[in-house]
Amino acid sequence: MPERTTSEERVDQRVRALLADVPPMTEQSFVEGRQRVLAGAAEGARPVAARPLAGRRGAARWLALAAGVVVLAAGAVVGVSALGPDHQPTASAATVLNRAAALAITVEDPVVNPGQYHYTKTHQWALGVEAAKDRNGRAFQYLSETVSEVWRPTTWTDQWLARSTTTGRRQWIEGSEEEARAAGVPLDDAKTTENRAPCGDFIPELGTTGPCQLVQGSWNYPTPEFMAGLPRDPRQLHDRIKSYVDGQKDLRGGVITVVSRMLSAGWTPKDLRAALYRVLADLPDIQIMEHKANLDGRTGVAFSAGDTGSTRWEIIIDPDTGRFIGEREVATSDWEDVRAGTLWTSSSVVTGVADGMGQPPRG
Amino acid sequence: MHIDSAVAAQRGSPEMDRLDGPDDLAALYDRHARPLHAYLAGRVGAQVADDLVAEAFLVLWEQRARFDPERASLRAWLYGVATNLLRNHARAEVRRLRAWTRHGAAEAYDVVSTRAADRTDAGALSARLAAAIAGLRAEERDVLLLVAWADLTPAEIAEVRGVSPATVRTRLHRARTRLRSVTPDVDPDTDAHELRMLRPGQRRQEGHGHA
Repeated sequence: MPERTTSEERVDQRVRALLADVPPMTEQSFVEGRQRVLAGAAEGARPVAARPLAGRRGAARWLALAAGVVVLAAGAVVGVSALGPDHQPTASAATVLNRAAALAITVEDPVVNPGQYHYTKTHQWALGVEAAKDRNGRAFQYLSETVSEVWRPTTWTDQWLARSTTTGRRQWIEGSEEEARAAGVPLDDAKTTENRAPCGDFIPELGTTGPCQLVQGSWNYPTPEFMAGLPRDPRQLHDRIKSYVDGQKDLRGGVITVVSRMLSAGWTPKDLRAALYRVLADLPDIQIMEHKANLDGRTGVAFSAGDTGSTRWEIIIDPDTGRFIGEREVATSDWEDVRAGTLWTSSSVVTGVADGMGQPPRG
Repeated sequence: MHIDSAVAAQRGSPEMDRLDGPDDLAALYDRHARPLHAYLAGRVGAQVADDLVAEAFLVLWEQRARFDPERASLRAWLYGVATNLLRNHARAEVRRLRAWTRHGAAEAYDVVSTRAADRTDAGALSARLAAAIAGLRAEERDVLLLVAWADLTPAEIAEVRGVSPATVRTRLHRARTRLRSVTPDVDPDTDAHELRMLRPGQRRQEGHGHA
């Protein structure tokens, strides 16, 4: 580990010092809490009623865990992309999206029989920015690769499998592998972890919800049941998303991020996918950022709408098949040593049908 | 003294890695309840913290089969659970941090301050810092406070939050740089000391003629 800089230590010290003003746990709270814990453990009782998770943290946990970062990430492929919209004189964003919607509806959803699995593979590159500086006096920056695979059974409450791989591959934006190692930057080695859990509740820290408490789903946790209940009329669907977005203070990027989340789940039915494309087409500020955006070897059109102030979300769709390719988040302003135009995250999503848990999909 | 000594005590002795029976649970509670309470009270206030401490231990117990001690210590899993429980109180947390800004920490915690006089410069700094923490993205705030208040490492946080270590380090770096603007690069003790040592005339000079 490199030694932390003095200013980092200072920030931590001052944050730590804030706790000095926090009153300590009272003896009564300590004793009562102890009794509650031991009694609760003896009874096997749940302490608090289930409540839905609020905010982004709960977002698509099966993806989050597996990809390491995906939906929650603040956090990119290939260095610096084109900053502004692509002004190639071609069809408008709305026209391309409406066409993609028309195509999407013609592609049959895969049939997954009992005993088979919905397979989703998310390939992500995410920006890492280290505190340590390289020889140019800039923070080391690199994109690191993760691959997550999820096998989802036909019955939601059966056992799922998530296989998450940090490949150890990096694309350097600032500094180099050798330089970073010499500077003591703690780079992640290749590693694969597997998790099994019902309902895709892979992260065992679900507190108030517990496993399988959210089968009915939510925007953060788009189960098939939840998706089935959404309107297919683009206007109605837009209004539903908008009212959710307006109630979320912590949600960055607005409607497009919610649409992206729905599409990234990997099992969005074709009529919903088409409706989501039409919702995007109707956004007043929808625009094409890049006509030939390459995500993990697949090329599509990158659309964006709105800006979080520091980043913007892009959705990449294959205009010839209506297939959702993936999403990315791009810096729109400089932050420290990260230049505007740098990709913070990029995720491409592939789906399929697998005959067994842990097996690759057919075809 | 409560938090520093509690954290120091945790650091000093080996981590518990078993949660097989009620005795282990009791021992884990005795050891970690107070520092966990401080972490939670700092974020959402003592009253909510009372409930969340008990709940975090119960979740850890109930789902103990799923917490792999090979991947992270029980203590790290405990803070992971607690941090997730906080999600339902995110708004309360931001309100509290902002209240700190307006009235100082003591009032925000419903405690009558007996040392208001001591909280002049330091109090103003705390207020700016609390406001800046309130303004962080939730995921950046989680990482920063898990490091500064719970003494977890980025690698441990990565395990218990289900994200990559590089992402944790990046969030931490972002949080720290955002806070750096409100924590001037001078040592706090030296700073206060030097200010006290200055004669009034010198201070006025520093103020460029303003009264």
